[in-house]
Amino acid sequence: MNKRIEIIDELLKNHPDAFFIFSNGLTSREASYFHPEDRCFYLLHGMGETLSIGIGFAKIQPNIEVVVVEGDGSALMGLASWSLMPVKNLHYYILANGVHETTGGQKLPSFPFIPDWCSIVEMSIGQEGTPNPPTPIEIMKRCQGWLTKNI
Amino acid sequence: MRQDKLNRELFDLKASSDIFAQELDNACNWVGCVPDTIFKQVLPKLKSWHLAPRENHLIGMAFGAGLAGQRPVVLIQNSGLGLCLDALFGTFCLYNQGLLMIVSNRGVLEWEEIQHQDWGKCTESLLLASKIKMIYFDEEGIEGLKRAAKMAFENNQVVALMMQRGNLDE
Repeated sequence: MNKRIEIIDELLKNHPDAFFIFSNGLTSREASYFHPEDRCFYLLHGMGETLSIGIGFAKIQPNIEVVVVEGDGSALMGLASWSLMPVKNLHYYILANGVHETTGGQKLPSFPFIPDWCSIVEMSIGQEGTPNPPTPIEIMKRCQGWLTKNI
Repeated sequence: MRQDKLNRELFDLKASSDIFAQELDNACNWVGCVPDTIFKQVLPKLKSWHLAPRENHLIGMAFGAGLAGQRPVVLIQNSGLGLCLDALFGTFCLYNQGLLMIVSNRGVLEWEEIQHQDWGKCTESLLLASKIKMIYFDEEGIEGLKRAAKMAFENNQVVALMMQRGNLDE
């Protein structure tokens, strides 16, 4: 099974022109440290809202490819937002290791169903050592640079 | 105060739903809602609006729309604050983005059903504790709506426009 950071690397390569939204916790932390890109928005909080943010964005910008990447714990928190899917220009990836890794590896319940618009990517448990993520101001500033050019 | 057809006390009517919808469309270009009775005449008069299943996801959608260049407004019942406060803190507040919230302040009047009463008692203190600026539609009417929107988008902050039962035609 792949590590989180390897999967994120592959997703960024597979969607070279897309706007990415990463969920809070290790997903944003590792993505922002190992693959800092202006086309990425890194959530630092708001667990369970990654998909709804992607939906709000994608519906307004139908010509921009949007990729939402979140951990399985975050995805389970946001299940009600699944009722707003599918959205044509939005790709949804759940990085699944079956635990709340950030908070100590508590086991997660399984998903009640997997819709065809949802890609579950199995990943190994384990994390890379990372410093604190960028500040919200830094994240927003970089991201707005990309958005200004592309919207 | 005025009375409805059942002789129940209501706050004063401050604007028709037509005017309110029109001014909302002027002030914002993305409208989202988890419906409440108070807004039922407003929603069909808006140019368009987005339905969310829960208030926290409404905040997420509004934040995404904001990133995509829109000026977002959300319409919610005060009870929805209990669901969306963390989403608000984790998005608009953390990243300093503007949001107009239209909050129906249910449970303030004595005749309102018991399930609304707890929220009627704590809504304002909850928003105050959350450092979310409140503007009262009951005091300022449409000018309050305009002022709230201006404050939200010029200062990049979350502003709640508080609506009392009776302020709009339902």
